[in-house]
Amino acid sequence: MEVFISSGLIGLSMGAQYALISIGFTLIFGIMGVVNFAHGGFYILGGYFAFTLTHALGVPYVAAVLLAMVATGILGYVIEAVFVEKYVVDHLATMLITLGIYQIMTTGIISVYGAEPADFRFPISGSLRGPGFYIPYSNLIVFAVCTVAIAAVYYLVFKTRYGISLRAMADDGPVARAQGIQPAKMFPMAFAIATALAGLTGALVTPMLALEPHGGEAVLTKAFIVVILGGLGSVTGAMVAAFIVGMVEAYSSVYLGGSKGALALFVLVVLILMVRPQGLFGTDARKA
Amino acid sequence: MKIVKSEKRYPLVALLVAITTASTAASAQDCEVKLGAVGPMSGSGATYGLAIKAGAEFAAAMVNQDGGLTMGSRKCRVKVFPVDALYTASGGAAAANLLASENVRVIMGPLGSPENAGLRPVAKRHGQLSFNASYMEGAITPEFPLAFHATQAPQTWGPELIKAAKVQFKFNTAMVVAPNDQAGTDPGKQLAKMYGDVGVKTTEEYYQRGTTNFAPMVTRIMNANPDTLEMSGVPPAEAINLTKQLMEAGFKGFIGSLGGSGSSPVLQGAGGPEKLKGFYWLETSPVDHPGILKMKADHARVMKSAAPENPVFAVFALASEVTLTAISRAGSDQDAEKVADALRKFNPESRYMGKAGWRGKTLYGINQELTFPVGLGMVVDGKKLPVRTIEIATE
Amino acid sequence: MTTPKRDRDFKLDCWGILLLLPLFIVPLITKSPLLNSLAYQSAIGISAAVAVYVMLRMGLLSFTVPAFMAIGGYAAAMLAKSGTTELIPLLLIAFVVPAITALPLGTLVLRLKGVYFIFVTFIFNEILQLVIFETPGLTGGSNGISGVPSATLFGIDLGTPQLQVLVTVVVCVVAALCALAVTQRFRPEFTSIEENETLAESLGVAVWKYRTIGFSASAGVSGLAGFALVNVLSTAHPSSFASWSVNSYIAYVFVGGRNTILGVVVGSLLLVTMTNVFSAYAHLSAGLFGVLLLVVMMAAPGGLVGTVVRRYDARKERLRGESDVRVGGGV
Repeated sequence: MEVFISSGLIGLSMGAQYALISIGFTLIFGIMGVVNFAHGGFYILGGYFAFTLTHALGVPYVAAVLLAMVATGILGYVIEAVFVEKYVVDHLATMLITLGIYQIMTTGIISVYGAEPADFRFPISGSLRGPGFYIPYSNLIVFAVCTVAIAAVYYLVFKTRYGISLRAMADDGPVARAQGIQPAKMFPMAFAIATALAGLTGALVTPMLALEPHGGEAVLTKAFIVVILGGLGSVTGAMVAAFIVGMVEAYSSVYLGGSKGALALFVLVVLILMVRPQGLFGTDARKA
Repeated sequence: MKIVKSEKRYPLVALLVAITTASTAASAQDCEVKLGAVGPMSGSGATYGLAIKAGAEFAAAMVNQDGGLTMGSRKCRVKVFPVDALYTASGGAAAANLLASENVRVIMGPLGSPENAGLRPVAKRHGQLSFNASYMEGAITPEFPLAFHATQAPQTWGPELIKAAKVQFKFNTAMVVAPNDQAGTDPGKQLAKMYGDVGVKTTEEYYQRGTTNFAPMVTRIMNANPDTLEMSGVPPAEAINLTKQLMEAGFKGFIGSLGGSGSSPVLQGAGGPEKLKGFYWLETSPVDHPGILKMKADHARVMKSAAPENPVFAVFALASEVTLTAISRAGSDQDAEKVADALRKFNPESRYMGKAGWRGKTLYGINQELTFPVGLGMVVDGKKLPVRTIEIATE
Repeated sequence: MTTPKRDRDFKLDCWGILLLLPLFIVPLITKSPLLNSLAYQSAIGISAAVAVYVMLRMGLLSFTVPAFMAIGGYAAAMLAKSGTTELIPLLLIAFVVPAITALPLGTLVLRLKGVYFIFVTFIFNEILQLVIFETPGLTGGSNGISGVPSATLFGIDLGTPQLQVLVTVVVCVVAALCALAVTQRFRPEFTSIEENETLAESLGVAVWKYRTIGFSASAGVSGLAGFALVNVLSTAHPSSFASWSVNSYIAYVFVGGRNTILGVVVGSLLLVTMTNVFSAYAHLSAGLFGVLLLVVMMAAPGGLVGTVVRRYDARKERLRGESDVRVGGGV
């Protein structure tokens, strides 16, 4: 029974982390049609920025996380404006452009930090223990932060004028433009918000897990799965799917083992997509 | 006989001296000994490939600082040609072809078993010698007489190290954890068998490669509650991750790392030896050995930077040193057969680790595995013991 | 799409296939390991990229290429190890097994649109890797199948380095011809699906039928690429068919030009060569590849061939406009 509870708690905490990173990914796709292959790169850069700030400059962890988030946001803004903006209409070209950027990012990280994993630790260690289960404090804190961040994104996307304009662009570009919404102004900002979220996740999660130059790849794969299950472009979808994926991964890994567990997860996702091809919350046919 | 007047002699002598010096300088410059370095240099295995490159470059630099490698009557500069083999079979094959086109016939590496599988048929065709560090069964075989083994696989030192650990920690059950690819199954299967051979009930757990969050795996491990957890095939970043989460969960067992990552990932993940009840690991080269310490000091001095942490560095620094000596004795860096012969005939020797030998006949059918000693490190009740040097028997 | 453009594209496709002929000559005239290595790597790259191209003609980007390469490669490896090393049966099985596997998979997967299709095909590749791992008895598991005997033709062993390169080029030409046949035979239907699927359906085009044909053909062509790779390495290893390797094949198509087979060939030749050059730069190799991708995609988003074609068209337009002016008004 304890194992059942533990698995559930793990699933929730993983779900929150996946949600935070996937929301950014789905935002970029939903609004701009760009499949951001560099998303994992922003995640890991967030980790490295926070690491450098805390270790080399002695900045307190909380400040380091916030600064890392801002830094990845700015970097995302610049990258979008310089490299992606002109080609935004060509979805397949932007895929390859962001892929190229990801490769450059990882090589840059190896050149500066070396290929060995960095010694980045969460400032608080120890766990909350209950009858037969435990939650590390770091998980609780990260869960709380993720929830706050997700709520903030929700507010931004659904309640502010800016967010409404973003969604208008996502729903029907030409009409939105006719209404006076200018994509050239919105896109870099939207991209920046998404990459800031990725950087925030990285700064929070890598001290709990591990920080190494190639950490972004596995994260991108997870984001792919979550976003496709949730429905591309749907923030709600990404959230719900993230928790589903987190729970399924947790339970299947604990009870079936890592390898068979991964197989179970993939098969499940494929089955769900058979029944509902546009994802759980996706709208029909966003043509790529 | 006309005697050259003294005033005319000096210019002649000067000219002769100038010509001789010029020609020796020119010959030291225009002869080059080529050494290839092949391994994964991008992607998640990058620390290993870059460590191979560093080992080869260090050995080359030590020789070059004396003016070069003695080849017959002259000294030649050693140049290292690194190639990224991407941890795939196609990458290994491409690397061998690329090096062959540059006339590099002596290769340090590759590391990964897929790379080795791809490289050696091509290397055989081109007459290239290779020094791999793969754990695969049949890492060297009589079918590829130019392939040497720079380090030993778990099958060689495993029984002795496991026995020593069992004596110290007295465990009866074990779980072997590794990723579900060849880098994980090679050591995983071998070690599981060896633990079983000394009466330890062992299970194997393979996790999805690229797992970022080991919390579910940790729950599974805690549920099975093995006395000791063997993490041999787990790559460094994942080992850090796994250890961190094991500690958070309050794992009370011992940890073994009888494989290529050494001790730093687990120590880093735990937050220091004080946090570990019991930890035992393989030092691919015994890290506290005065010879290895001197090697690292030399690296800092000559290369103006610290030696890579990755244990594979020392392995290839030694193997490269031995290979360069063999090239010198063979008088050629192009005739791989001659170099291989020189390697087989003399007992490998290093300025850092002294004399070693060859082995491999029983296990692989061919005696081409270096027998520089390995080390067994242990942390007992939070205290790090000095690394025990384990000699490897020659055959 | 107007008929002259279609004719022009067909001509460019043929030029692409003709460009493969020099690859034939390389193993015959030189023993250089680098040139031969580039030749076989390019041949395999082109075969895989052309499978991507077939799907692109329908407006679909498929991530299944490595998976079908694996199915074709492993099938051929198993057949060769069980005794049949004749080239023609090996080619047949390498094409047919993935093509048939694609049929049921297609019914499941082809109703997905756009990027959904991409991601599900990606997941399929991951599933296949796991299946390979869990079935060591059949597939050799994580070690793969090694010691695969080289192909033979009517008894003659094609195992020398030169002949092996030749075999990969032959497979490449077969793959490209298959792709040409399918894309030309069904060009109108594929194009209508690519441009506007709903409209195509309303005009009576049985979209599902043509999608399935394209998907199956792409799978078969991938299988040929997989066989070529297994044959030249003498090993069927899971690491050869990793999911993200598809990024390379997609890059070959896009960098060269996604509209013609000529583009695919040009892109593959360029990127394969550059990857080999970059591999000598140790940890910088991935970054250099990234820079190359970035530069080409930004300077020539239509791919190299595509951009040249566009410039040529633009020039012709300009010249025609000028000559109209000269004539005095454009009648």
